[in-house]
Amino acid sequence: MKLNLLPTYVSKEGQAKKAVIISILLFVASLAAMLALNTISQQTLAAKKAEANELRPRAEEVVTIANNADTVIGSAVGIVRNVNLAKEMVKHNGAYPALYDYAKPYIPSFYRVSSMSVAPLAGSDVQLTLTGYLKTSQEYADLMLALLRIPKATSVTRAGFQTSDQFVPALTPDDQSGRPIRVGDQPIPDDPVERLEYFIARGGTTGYTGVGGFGSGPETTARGAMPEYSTVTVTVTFPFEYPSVNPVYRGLQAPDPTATLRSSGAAPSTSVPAGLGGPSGAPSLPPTGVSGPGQGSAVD
Amino acid sequence: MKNLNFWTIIIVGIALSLIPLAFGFFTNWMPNMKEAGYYDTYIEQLNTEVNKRPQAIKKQEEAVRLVEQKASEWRNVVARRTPPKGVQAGGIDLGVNAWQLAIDSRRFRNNIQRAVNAQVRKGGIEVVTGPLVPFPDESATTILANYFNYPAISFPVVVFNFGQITVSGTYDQILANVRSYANMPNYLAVASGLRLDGTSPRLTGTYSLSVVGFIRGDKIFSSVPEGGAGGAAGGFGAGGPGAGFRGGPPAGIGGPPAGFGGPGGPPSGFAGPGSGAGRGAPPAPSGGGRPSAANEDE
Repeated sequence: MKLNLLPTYVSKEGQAKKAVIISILLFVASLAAMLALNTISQQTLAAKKAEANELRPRAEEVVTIANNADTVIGSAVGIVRNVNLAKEMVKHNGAYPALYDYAKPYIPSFYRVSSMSVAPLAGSDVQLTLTGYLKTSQEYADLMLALLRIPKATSVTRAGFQTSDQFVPALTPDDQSGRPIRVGDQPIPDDPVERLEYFIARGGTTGYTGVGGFGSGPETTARGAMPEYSTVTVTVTFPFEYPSVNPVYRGLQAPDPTATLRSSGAAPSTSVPAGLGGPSGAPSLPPTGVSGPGQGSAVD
Repeated sequence: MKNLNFWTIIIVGIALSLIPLAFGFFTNWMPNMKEAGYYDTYIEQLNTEVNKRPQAIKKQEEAVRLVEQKASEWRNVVARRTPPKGVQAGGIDLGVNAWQLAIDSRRFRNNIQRAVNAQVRKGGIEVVTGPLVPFPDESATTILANYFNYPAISFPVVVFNFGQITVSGTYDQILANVRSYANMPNYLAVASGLRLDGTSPRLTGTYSLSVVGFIRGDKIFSSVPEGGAGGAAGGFGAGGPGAGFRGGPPAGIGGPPAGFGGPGGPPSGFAGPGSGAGRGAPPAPSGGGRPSAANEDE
């Protein structure tokens, strides 16, 4: 058995020395760590800055290139506008003829057209209006079906047909058989004599009627509806994209030269601000060599 | 000291060591690394931009190609669809003084009327209601603005909306007539709203007609002091900004090869105020070389 006979302060002093040494070492280590933190962070930052400084000119160059492209485009806005206007004007001259040629095959032969017009709608839609002459209600119905054959036609309207078809009337004391008559006609009597007088009374025309301008006047005169024909107006709405593959014409919107040209903005004032010209009250002479024709600023 | 516990001293040592460590961390490491982080983001953005270089170059090339294409198209338009340069050739020269311009404009107007008359007959139709070209102002002070739309439009241009034109002919003739406006020489014309009436084969066609004439040239004479003798602004030839076209259609990139020479010489015997360089300058190689097709001899 060993006994520690040394006083207690002897062992504490030794421990304190160790602790102090350790603490000093810790402190020195922390100082070294501080320096390391400082150095490493600054080096990292400097490296990043250097990399950024290296990239910045290249990025600026790219931005300059991109801006230059915009500048190039911007400098040609006026020309582009005028070229587009010219192309649209030239192209539009063929639009209406193309549309009439396009729609004409769908107009049935029994419908004699006296007027064709077309109005542009929104987008590529157009509304074709036809006025012409028809005789029967069957033609009136068939006309609608024929016009709906126009590709992608969305709607048709019709107006003006006056029916001349016969109908079977109700029986009356004079007409116990109900012979077909036309609208507005009186019932046809059953009695043969009265029936003869009835038909004699209907025959009012004694000569050439000249209805619709047929058979008279110069050949250039427009002809109207023949007897028993009706003047019928139809409209057809359809998108006009012609030809169907790679269409040249899309609708009938006409270019507006005045509005387009004015959208380019106004030129600078041609008047001279007061005070820059000659002396007040005197007809000023042109300062030779300053202005005058032939010395205008360069066209930009 | 000797009375202090071992661990007490260690703890004090650690505490003291934390001071420089904390100082280094909070005053150097953390802000520097944060700034470095910002730089990382910045570098990433820069890299993004740098990586766009091929696209930017392509965009620039595309822009140049597009502009060259449009310029080429515009040169074609100018060559075929603008009035010739100079009054003698059937066009107009805006480089003369406004009093002379008032005279020249009437000749120009008549030449336009001749061109329109020749055009409106195309297709073999008979003209029922033909277009009448408006007469220019007599006033030298307003003719440029009223007839040539300058400076309301940034370059001088004549625009005529003729309203309804009526022609008579067969279906094919009328359609050919309308189509022919696409080839009207020296002017841009647009016929719209065609309506056909009548009984075949003799039909009546009605349409609206607009004609545009871009004026060639690179100079406009400054305003004249007519009616402004008592005014404060002398004005005449004072080098105002209106001494040239700004951004006019024949100008800019790829402007027309023609029409950029001098105005082709002053009217005979008239030097004009401020007659300096530019007057009588030789025309451009192809400028003003158009043969006089419709010259006004009045």
